[in-house]
Amino acid sequence: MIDPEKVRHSVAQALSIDEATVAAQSRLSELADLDSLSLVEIATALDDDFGVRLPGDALVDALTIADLVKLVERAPRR
Amino acid sequence: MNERLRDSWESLRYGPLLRGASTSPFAGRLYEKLVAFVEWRADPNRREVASARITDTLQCSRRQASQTFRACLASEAREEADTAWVARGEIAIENVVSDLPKLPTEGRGCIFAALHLGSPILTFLYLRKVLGLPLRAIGRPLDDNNPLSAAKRAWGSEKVAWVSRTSDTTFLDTDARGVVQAREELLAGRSVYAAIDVPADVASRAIPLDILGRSFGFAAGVPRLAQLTGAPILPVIGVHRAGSFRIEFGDPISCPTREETQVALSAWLSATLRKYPDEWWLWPYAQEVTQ
Repeated sequence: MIDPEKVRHSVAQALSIDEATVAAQSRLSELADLDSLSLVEIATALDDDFGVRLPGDALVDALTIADLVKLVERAPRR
Repeated sequence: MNERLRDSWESLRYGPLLRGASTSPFAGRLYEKLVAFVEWRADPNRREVASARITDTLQCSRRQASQTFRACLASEAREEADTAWVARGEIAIENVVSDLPKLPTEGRGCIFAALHLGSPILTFLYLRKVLGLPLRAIGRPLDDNNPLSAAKRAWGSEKVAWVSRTSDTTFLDTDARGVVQAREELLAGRSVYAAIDVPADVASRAIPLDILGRSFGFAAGVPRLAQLTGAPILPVIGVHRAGSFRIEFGDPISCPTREETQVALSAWLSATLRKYPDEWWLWPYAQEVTQ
């Protein structure tokens, strides 16, 4: 079971934003001015923090923090 | 040259003139000279700004700087003519490359960092098709948001379509999906080919790099992607030679931190500019960072 708090923490770290502004239903596009590198930064943080390898296709379709939690749960372990 | 005239000239340049240039190397050289002449005459302000920058950076005379700028204009035109000629199919790509040096690495899991210098597209094609490297190019989409003129974008689209067919691979866009895909490629041990001299003003993030003592802003995508994936950057250029071009590699650059990457890339760019000031055709338009 993945701790959603830990996912929020990883995303906040990756985007250099205040963790308190990140809620489970937060849409990624509303958290910060995302650019084409932001998703890779989020993916790298989650990969490192959870020891997984997030799949790229699903990552692009993730819209919210909750989506990311599900992705981490299903991602292959490294 | 006003905007209307510029549009007409570019339609002529990337239409009938470039088609004519594709018929033979000799026609290509005529195209190169004509384009350099017209572009040189067309925009005195751009010529002055570029010449002043070259003078200050290379510490050369204004006359030498003017000649260097004109050579840069010719080099870009030559890239177009050579690509159009090879695309015509009368010569194989392996026959226009001379003196290929040994790859400094296996060429896997790395970012080949190219410049708008010499022949970057033919260099990609050679690495992919002839050397068989598992390589995909990533670049800015040629859509309506791209600042290039319609005629130049149309030529760019033709070129991309030809390279994709010939190399049996599709180009990645520099949008979120493309960058995520580039990460997938690198983590899977395949490689990515990208220009690193894209001016900062067309990118969402910039990285300042020091070239011969002056600071220029470039798009930060390649250095950041390298840092995030742990992939080394392998500098590569394809330099024009009489009737051909030669590929040169720089030393692989590992990118543990932004600062170390900046130092290593700056050193390579400085050395490259020193060696080929008349071939690096995008550099005169790079965005200088002032304090």
